[in-house]
Amino acid sequence: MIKFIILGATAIICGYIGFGVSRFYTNRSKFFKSLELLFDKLKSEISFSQNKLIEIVSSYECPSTEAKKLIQNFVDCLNFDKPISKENLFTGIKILHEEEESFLEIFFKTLGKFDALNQTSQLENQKVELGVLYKKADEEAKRYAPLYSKLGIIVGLVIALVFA
Amino acid sequence: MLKKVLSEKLYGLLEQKIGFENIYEIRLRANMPVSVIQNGQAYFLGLQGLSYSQENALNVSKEEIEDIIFRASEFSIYSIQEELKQGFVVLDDGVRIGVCGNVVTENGKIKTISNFSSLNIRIPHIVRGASKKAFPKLVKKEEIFNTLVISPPGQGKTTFLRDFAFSLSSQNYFFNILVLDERGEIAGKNPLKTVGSMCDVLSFCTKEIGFLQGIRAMNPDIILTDELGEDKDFLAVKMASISGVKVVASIHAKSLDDLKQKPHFEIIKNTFQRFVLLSPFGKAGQVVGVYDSDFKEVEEEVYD
Repeated sequence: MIKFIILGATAIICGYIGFGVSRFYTNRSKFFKSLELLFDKLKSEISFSQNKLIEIVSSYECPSTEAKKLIQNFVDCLNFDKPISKENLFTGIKILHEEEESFLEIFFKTLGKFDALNQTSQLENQKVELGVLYKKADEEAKRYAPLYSKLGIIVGLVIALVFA
Repeated sequence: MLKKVLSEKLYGLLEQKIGFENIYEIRLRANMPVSVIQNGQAYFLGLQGLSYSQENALNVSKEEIEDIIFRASEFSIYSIQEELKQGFVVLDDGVRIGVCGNVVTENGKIKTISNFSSLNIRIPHIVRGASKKAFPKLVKKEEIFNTLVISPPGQGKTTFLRDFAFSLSSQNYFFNILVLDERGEIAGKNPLKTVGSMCDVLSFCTKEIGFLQGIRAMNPDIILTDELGEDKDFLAVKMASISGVKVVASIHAKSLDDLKQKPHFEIIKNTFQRFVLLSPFGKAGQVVGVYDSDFKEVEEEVYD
């Protein structure tokens, strides 16, 4: 009886790990998509209403938990006079690669530092780079997210069957 | 607001060693000593406080200067472009930051200022009673004289005007006063506290437009404004005077003789009935004398 409970638990844990890995990829895709939408909002509000930066980013209803965390970290850097560094920006965010963090660090460091024309053209350029990151993350998500969730379940079931 | 804008070190030094109530101006130049104007006198700021010596003075870097403007813009340089074109940024409490750097022009017009290298931070003061000595010589029971306040820069013209407006508001004269605040320095963002309850404030608007717009929109009894300088300013004053609106204004001049050398002296002489001369030395806003249109000192007058 205990054996079956352990095997059942093992199958569930494997499935959960697979789901976790899968979620890593979907979260990355969602993260970059959220930032793309933020770029659009920034571009439009800087061009037209010229609202203050904190007002713009704080009013953004971010669909990604990680992107929301990143925006909050950025606002904290500004409000509490902390340097805009990788350490301060990416606290609590574990889905990014080194080069992605470097790109976003530069992006946040330059945000708000130019006149409207230069700021929006800067955003346009950075959005191209962000688009590449999103495309890659989305392709990975489409390829690996279902794969890893299925793999987790299959590995769990195979372990359960072999040791049953 | 300055606390949010200046670096912790600089703000701490100014607050602890001098006190903001005594500071009228702070000048920051990239990689140069910080200077502070206190009661009309310039000093260098060192770690031990104010000094005449540059040797131990605190220097600020170009990055610190750029950071101050970044913070003054609430981290949004793009949102202060119009102010930068005019060469200054005004904070919520009326503190004015004059900016120097690279002027970017397009088709002969200033597009922006970038690469900031110097800042002149002017701190407004509310000095209740600054206009008390001159007040009875400028206001009759139901009338006010066209008045021009004269002093060199930084000697309290705006402080005088602010207090004069507040005194008129608080003493129930029921004059409708239009404060034409071209640089946002007179009234700041809290007009009730600075100029009082009888004032309407038209901010960041040239005198040429403001006088016309103000008279048309608000039908004021008095227009109070700062620093007449351009040809257009004097024409606006003349136009208001012809319309029957009283004008209280200020102008840069060291003395009455200096005033007489001004290019628009004829308009000044024919428009203003009272001249308030502020001391060019010592504490800002000290009234030296009040003069009539013949430049004779007005003796103490008591109006029924």
